[in-house]
This record gives sequence, C-alpha cells and structure tokens, in this order.
Amino acid sequence: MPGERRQFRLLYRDFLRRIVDLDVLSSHGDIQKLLVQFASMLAAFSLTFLFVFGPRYVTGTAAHTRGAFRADLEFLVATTMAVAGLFSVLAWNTVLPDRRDCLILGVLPVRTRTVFLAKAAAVASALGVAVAALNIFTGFTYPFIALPREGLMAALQSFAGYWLAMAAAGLCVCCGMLALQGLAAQLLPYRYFRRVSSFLQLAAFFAILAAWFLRPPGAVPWLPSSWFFGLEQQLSGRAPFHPLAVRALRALLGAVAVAAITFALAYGRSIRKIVEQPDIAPTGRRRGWPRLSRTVLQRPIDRAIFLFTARTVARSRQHRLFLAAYAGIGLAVAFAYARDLLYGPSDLYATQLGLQWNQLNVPLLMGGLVLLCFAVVGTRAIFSLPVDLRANWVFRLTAVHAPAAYFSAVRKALFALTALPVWLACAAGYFLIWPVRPAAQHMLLLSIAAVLFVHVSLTQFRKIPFACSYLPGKSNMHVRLAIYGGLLIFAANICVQIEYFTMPYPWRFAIFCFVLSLAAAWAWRRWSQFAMSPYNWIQFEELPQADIEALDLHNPPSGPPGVPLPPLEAEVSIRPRPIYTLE
Amino acid sequence: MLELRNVTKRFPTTTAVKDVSFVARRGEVTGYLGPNGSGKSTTLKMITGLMEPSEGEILFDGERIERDPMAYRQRLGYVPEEPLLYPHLTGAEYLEMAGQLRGMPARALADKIDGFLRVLSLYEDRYVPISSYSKGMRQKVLLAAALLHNPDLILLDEPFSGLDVSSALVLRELIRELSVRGKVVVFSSHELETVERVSSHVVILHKGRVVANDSIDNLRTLMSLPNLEGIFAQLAIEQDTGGMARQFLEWMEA
Repeated sequence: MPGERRQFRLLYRDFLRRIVDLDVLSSHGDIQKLLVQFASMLAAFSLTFLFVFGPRYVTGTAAHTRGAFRADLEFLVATTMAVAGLFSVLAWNTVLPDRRDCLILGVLPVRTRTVFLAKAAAVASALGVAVAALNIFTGFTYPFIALPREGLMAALQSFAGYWLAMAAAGLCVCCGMLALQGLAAQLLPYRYFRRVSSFLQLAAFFAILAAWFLRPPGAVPWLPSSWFFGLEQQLSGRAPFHPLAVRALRALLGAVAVAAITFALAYGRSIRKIVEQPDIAPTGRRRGWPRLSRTVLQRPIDRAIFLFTARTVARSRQHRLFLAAYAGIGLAVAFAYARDLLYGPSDLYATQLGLQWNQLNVPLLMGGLVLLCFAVVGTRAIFSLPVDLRANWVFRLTAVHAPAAYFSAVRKALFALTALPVWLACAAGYFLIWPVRPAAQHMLLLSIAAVLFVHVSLTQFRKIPFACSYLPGKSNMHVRLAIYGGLLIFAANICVQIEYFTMPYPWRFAIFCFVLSLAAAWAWRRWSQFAMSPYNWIQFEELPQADIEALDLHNPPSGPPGVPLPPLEAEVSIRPRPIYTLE
Repeated sequence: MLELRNVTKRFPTTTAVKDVSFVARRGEVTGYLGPNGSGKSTTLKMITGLMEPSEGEILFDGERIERDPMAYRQRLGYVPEEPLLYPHLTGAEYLEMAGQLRGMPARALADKIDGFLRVLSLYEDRYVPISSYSKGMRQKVLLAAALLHNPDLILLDEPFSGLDVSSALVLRELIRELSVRGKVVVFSSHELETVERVSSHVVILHKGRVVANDSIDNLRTLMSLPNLEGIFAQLAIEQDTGGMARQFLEWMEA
C-alpha cells in the first residue's frame, strides 16, 4: 500500500475542511473565516459567562462560593455536552462516506481502514476545537476556585480534572450520536437508513436542546451532565469516590465502544451500498403542493418560487437541519416559559400570571408568539443558504419579470410556509384548550405579529431563496444573533404581558391591537418601498464590503425602459450593478 | 437576427474574447467552433446576458440586448455547456419551474411538459429526482427547458454531450427544423462532422479572436480543403497532434 500514513494525512486534511459544507459558500467566501466565526462565538460565550458570574467569587463567603461553584460547574458541563451534541448533529452527514467519497476513493488504492481513521480523526479534532473554544476562558479560571487543598499539585490536579471531564463529556455525547447513527446503519437496509437517518438527526437535535433547557427537577441523577459533573469532582479531588463518576465512565466507555464497532462495520457496508443504490429513491407524484399552490397563488411566478422553496426545505437535509435549529430553539424557549405549567409555579409572581393550562396564562400566550417569531426568522435565515449554487443560472436566465415580482413571490412563500402553518397550529391549540374569546383575541394578535415579522425580516432581502451564495464573516453574526435574540425575547415578553393585562377589557385590547397594527403597517410600507423601487435588482452573489466604494461614474445609471432615471442627488442615483460570476 | 459588434471580454488575468463580430441570421444555423479555452462559452454567456462584455455590443433584431433584458430573455432559449440543474427536483418539477418562471399558464405548461417528456423518452422517469439522472437525461431536461417557451433565439453550447446515438440524431434533425421555422440558432460543438451536417454558416474562434466567419461552402472553396475538419485544423490547431500524442505516451511510460 503506497504510503498509508501519507494517505491518512491527506484524507484527514480534506475531511477536516469538509466538516462544513463548502458548496454553500460565496466565491469570495473563506472557510477559515467561517470556522473562526464559530469558534469565536463559543469563546464569546465563555468570556460572557466569566464576566457575569465571575465577580461573585470575589465578594462571596466560602459557603456561598462553594454553592455557586457547583451550580456553575454543572451548567458548564451541561453546556459543553449540548455544544458537542449539536456539533455531532451538524457533522452527522459527514461522518459516513458519501457518494463522492465512494466514487473517488473507491477506485484509488486506499484502504477502507485509512478512510475510517481519517474521518474519525477529523471529527475528533473538530470536536476538540469546539470544546476548547467553549471553555477557553472558564477553563483557565474555574479550576482554581474552591480548591480542595492548598498547593501547586492541588491546582494542577484541579486544572487537569476540569479539562479531562469536559473532554470526556464532549466525547461521550459525540460518540453517543455516532453510535445511534451506526446502529441505524447496521439495523436498516441502506435506502431506509438514508430516510430514517435524517429523522434521527432532527430528533437528536431536539432532544439535546430539550435536555439543556428543560432540566426537570428530580431527574438530576439521571442527567448525563450530572454524571460528568461528578467525574470532575472526583478527578479534581474535590469529592473522592463521587457516586456519579462511575456512571459517567460507564456511559463514556459504552458510547465509545458501540460507536467504534458499529461505525467500523458500517464503513465496509456503506461503501458498497452507496455505489449500488441511488441517494434519493424515486417517489410517486405528489399532487398536494402543486394543487394547493394553484388554488392559493394565481401568478405562475408566485407558484414557481413557492414550490421551489417548499421542495427545497422538504428535500434538502442541510436546510431542514438549519430550520430545525431555529425551530428547536423556539420550542425550547417556549418550553422554558412553560416550565411552571409543567413543574408548578416557582414564585409568588408566577401565580399572578395564571398558571392553569386551561385558563388564559402568560406562558402559553408567549409560546405561540415565540414559535411564530422563530419560524419566520429561521426560514428567512435558511433562504440565504444556497442549494446547488451553480444551478441558479436558470433564475438569471428566466428573469423576465421586474425584481418586485420576485420579492412579492418570496414574501408569499414565507407567509405560506411559516406564518400560516404556525398560525393554524396555534389556532387549533388555543381554541381547543381556551374559551373562544381569549383564543380569538390571541389569534388576532398573532396575525398582526405575522405581518410585522415577515415584512421586517424581508426588508433589504433581495435574493431568490436558496439561489444566492453565502459569504461568511460579512457581519458580526455572533454579536448580532445574541443581541437580536435577546431583544426579540424581551420585546415579546413585554408584548405578551401587556396583552395578558388588556385582554379582559375590550377597549384596552383594541387600543393595544391598533398600536401593534401601526407597527405592522409601518413594516409593510417600508418593505413595499424597498421592493417596488424601479432601481432594485436581484442578488445572486454575496460580495464582500469594499474598502473603497467605486462610484462607477463612467457608466451612466440605467433603468428599465420607460422609467425615468432618478436625479443624481437621490438616494439611489448610482445603482449598484449586478455582478455575474459564472466562470 | 443576432449581431455581435467588436465584443471583447476581459477578466482580471486574461482576455477571453477579443473583438469578436459576427451575424447569425434567421433560418440559418450558425456553428460556433474553437478549441478548448478559445472563448466560445464566454461568448455564449455574453449573448445570454449572464456576463457583460467589457467592450462592444450585442444586438438582437437591431436592439441592444441590455436595453430591455426581460423581453430579450423571454425570446431566448439556452442550453449551457454543463448540465447544472437542481438535483433535488424531479425532471417534471424542473421543467414546471422553468415554465412558471417565464410566466407560462399552468394548463398549457403541463400539457407541454408531458409532451416533451414523452418525445425525449423521459416520461417514465418524470418523478425521479434529477440527482439520479444520467448525463444524457440531464442534457435532455436542459434542452426541454430551453425550448419550452418557443424562443426565437436558441443558443446551444455542446448540446450533444452525453446523448446516445438515437437522441443525437433526433437533436440534429431538431436543430435543422428549428432553423427552417425561422429561429436564430447558434450552436457550439466539438463534433465537427455534426456541425458540418447541420450548420450553413460557421464562425471559428482561436485564442479569443475570430479566424473564420463564412458559409462552409465558401470556406471549402477558399481554402481548397474537402471538409470542415481540415479547415478547422488549419485555422485553429497549431500543434502537431500526432507528435503530441507520442510525447504523451513517452511521459506515461517514463
């Protein structure tokens, strides 16, 4: 075998780069920038955690410090496990060889063992980076708090214990996910495995988020994060022979063993099956979508954009997964609000907000609004991620309508695919459990909120869904996400509190709805001004922000025939010219 | 009539097309030939409007194509060099999308798609995702999508790529019929025999420049050569092909 170690190194480098799907990136995109962005997002969490919770160790008493330390450490272990789990779910499709791997590597003199080891090493490296980034600041401070004894050796033991426990926790979750996938690959025929695998991936995703957000009281000894907290306590010498540490070790060994065996078997099996069978099985004609779209959407362009969007979301694993991420966070936030309904009120204030599930209550009011918001924002976000970028020429070549027609079609697709299903699901739920009046009042409010969310999210969005490249690092995504997410939940919370207190009084509720309607009308008008501008264009390639903006004065601005050119002083006097890059 | 006037395309590191001018008339098939990298596909992309020329102008029926790009695209059908299609859609869904994007009415579109798929022997596979299609099947989908709206200008970039013998014969006949029906057909291919059979007029490109622009009969007479292959070899091939093949074998066996 020619240079197996060299083959391993080459494959390892290639697989590591492909942990993230490169096909979605803009031609100006930089994969390193994307990875640094993710790592910095995790590191930012670590730093924020340290700044928020660190100061109490300076002023608190010894007993207080010990109590806070245990709570913080358990939270850090749980977060590390959640991040490792989410990483495993995101890398789900890259751990087994795909068709491209099989067709390229299958004809080369490369052993299956080498491919397997290179994949495993790439996944382990990426996981290691994620865990290290997440603990980069806390990992160098927390181990030195509340040391069991004095001296350098105790400090070093605590430091090593912290990092070993975190690494073990991450590895356990990652191997657990791989074991789940490996078992499915062993037990199911390949074609069914492909289908079931995507559902398992989504289920795993929701399970991880639910476990992180909803920690039911009483279930702590059964939560894996508690086991690895126990392992940390034992390794650092704080609590020798911690009972939960044994569970952690058993879980780790079990997950690693099952993952290693099933994956080694799956490799030999998959490579043959992938070449023999198509990735996507032929299906019968589905009349539902086209018929529905013909009934609801009259214009062919509206139907084209709606069907393309619906089919892409339904069939593209990557897009489904990103959408599930937003929906999962939305569900988790909604469930977090509903904790008191599930586990009983936690404080006196909560009892004032109505905590009988079959009566009007704030947590369920909040649930509908949060779900609607995350569904709209998530779908809008995945619209920016392309599918088979080089195939988007069909949209460029068939662009026989003004850009406004496309933007209007995108708006209809967003309404039809997100706002409408969530609205209908909420209506069914609220009318089932609540009296008609409060349910109808809340549905009215959700309708206004849907109009507001859809128009705000589509303003300045000049793309056809899934047909424009993605440029990582264009904006401070991690900062913006955190700020917008926080603001959104804060605003939704205030809105729901006002709604709860105005609902029994028709006039007050009417005034509240009127104010919200004004906001929705403003968002609609703002979107219309953007979409209907005769100098608008459709964007197919995300471009980096230029350091120096060229005014392009040698090319006079041109618009559609019959439309007068805007004056030079106007905001849009120099129209950015579309840049085509097919070559 | 399609007319290119002194069209040049510059990229940051190279000039792909230099001062290209030719006319493609209705009722005639214009063969657009050249070795790999000579600028054929770049020219066709400029004619489609996917790329902007650095210099020069492109006119269709006497009007610059960028004057009313939407109306122009409505009259244009294009088969690209590579079969780049959305693989998660089925053949029928892709054609449906292309028709809807062009604003075709639903009933007429559905009938047309059924008819096209039957003629192209894709009807049985109409609900199969394009990801499972062979190269030839993808090429047929591209061809159907290009002709779905009955365009006046048809640009075919390597349309025979991947097609089996019978489909290639059908396409050859189709191209001829399209020109008879008054369409402007510009057709780029490396299959010189097919070009000679189908085209009445050829434009030969070499290193981005036009080296021949005439009817095949005139070129044969002018250059005293019996066929298009000889003409092409003399105008566009600089190397000794036999010598190169021998050199390759030497390297292979080294």
